[in-house]
Amino acid sequence: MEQSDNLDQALWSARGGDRDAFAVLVREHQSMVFSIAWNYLRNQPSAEELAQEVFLDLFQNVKSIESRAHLTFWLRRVTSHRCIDYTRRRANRPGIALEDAPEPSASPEIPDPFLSGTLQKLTASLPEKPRMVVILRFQEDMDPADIARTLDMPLNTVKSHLQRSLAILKEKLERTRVRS
Amino acid sequence: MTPFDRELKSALARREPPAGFTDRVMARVPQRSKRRWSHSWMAAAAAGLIALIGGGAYEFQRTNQVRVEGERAKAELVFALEVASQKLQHTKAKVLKNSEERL
Repeated sequence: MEQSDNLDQALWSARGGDRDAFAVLVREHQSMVFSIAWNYLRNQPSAEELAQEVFLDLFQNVKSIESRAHLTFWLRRVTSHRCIDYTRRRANRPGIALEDAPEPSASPEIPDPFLSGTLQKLTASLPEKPRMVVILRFQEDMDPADIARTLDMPLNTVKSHLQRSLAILKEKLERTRVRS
Repeated sequence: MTPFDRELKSALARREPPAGFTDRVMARVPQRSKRRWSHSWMAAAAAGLIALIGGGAYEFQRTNQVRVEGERAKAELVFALEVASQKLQHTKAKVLKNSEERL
């Protein structure tokens, strides 16, 4: 409760141009923003650079943020769209079908001993939008309706991405286990 | 939630960024509010100066116009007095001449 009050106060002060209050907002939300970028890009320098850009963008737009819930929604939305744009700019290639997504980049001859690491790599191998849907669902614990609003995507598309992505991840995980 | 969902949730759990992240962000945050304040100050000062110069120019022109009109009126009055004076002199001379002729 006290922390909520502090965050409300920090948001209010940051909107008035208080840099220290803005730093409080950064500290409070940095793990969320950085983790979305890290889980999506699987590259620490790129994830940090992207997360920093998101917070600089927030500083320019902090006056338009109306509440803590709005702040969380705004950060998730901007981070997600920046991640997708970043990958598209970098790859500059047409999207691929979910079923055609490549296997994780880790060599199958050297199986990952940790399940989490394997799942992270498998998730990172999904196409751009399904990958972000899975990250928002399982990292941020968001329901499909919130994901649809965050990504400007029809609800049924989100549900379909989730269903197909989970089926593919399970199948690929099984294949990886069989190989190892 | 299935065991697979739990494994995925655990794999994608939030993590902290490298140490010093907040400081690196704050080092890139521009000193926006201060600059904006000085810009608005400068804009207000410039607007005040322009208003002052405009007001001064208007007042100078108005005063000058009153002075010119006053001088013109003065010149016309002097001219009228000179004409009247000449006519009086002329009349006086005629009266004196008539008086001498009668005597």
